[in-house]
Amino acid sequence: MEPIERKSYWNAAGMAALIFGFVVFLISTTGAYITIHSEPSGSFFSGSILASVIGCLAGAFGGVLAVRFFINEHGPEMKIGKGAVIGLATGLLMALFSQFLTLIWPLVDASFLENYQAAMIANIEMMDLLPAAQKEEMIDAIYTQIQNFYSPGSIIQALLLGFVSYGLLNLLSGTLSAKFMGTQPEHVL
Amino acid sequence: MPGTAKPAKDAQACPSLLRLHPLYAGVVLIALFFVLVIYTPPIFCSSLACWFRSWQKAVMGLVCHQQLARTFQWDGIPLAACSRCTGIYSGFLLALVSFVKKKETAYAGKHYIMKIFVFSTVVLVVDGVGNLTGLWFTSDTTRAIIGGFWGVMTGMLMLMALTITRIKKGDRNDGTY
Repeated sequence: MEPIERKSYWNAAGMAALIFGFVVFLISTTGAYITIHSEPSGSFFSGSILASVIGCLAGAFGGVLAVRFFINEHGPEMKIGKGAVIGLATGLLMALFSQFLTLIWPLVDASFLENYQAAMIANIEMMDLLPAAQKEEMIDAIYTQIQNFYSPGSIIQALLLGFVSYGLLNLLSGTLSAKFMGTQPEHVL
Repeated sequence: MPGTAKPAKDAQACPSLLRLHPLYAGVVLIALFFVLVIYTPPIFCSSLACWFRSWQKAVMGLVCHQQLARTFQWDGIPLAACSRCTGIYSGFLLALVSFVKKKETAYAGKHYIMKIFVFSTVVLVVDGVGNLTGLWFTSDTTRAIIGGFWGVMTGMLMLMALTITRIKKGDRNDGTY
């Protein structure tokens, strides 16, 4: 019986997760800084036009890069399911890494959270069409969110959301990449 | 290359040689999950504040800008993703579900599908850049249609990826079967 060759995908998934985790962190943090340095306009995301164009779906392409790395390392032959697993692993690691960066950034820029909170609240206060009660409710929500930034509950919640969002989308992109970048074994009747 | 994919010669003539990968069901469920996440905030939320705190907004917020000015609203409550992303996810699910019975036709036209996918990607990027640079401003409906077009083509690519071709024994020229 021939030994089964196990091709580890963790190198490829880890590398792609580091790159894309950094990219999504960069996009969201840049968007936040643009919001901070913009005049309040009455929109939640007044300054994030950059994020609006390149941010959409950017986090979904980690699976593509991971499959490319895997093929470079082990050759093109891979099953579709392997691509899905690589994509899923990339998404999970990416969520971890981007969350880690998000948590340490306020330690680098100590006034980041305070400024972001102020910018968000100023934007909401400019929303003329919104009833006062709803404005208060949203300002409370932002205040609570920022105050609980380092609470275990918030961190776990953010991680779970990242796992779901990045994990599932990268599973899809990994599956597609396995088909179109790799070669699949024949199925004989 | 030994052991690599080789399209079945008579896959078109004999559709039974094509079958769907078991992953298909999972992919449809994932697409359905995202579509439900996008469309459900107006059902569960009665105010913008509720939408702001909703888990649907939090899930889609990681992969969509969710600018209110570029998001469809129902009864004053926005969906959980912008109009373009709404089109993309809806189109993706639509293609996965509606073309599954026509997978032989889709498989036969796979080269055209790839070309149309590239075209739809160019349209998506050009529209995004045009809006960014202020050359034009497309409406939410136009964005949703452009996103939906790309979503449908991505869904068809996914369907092609999950369509497995099987080869009959003795079909190969090298006599290995």
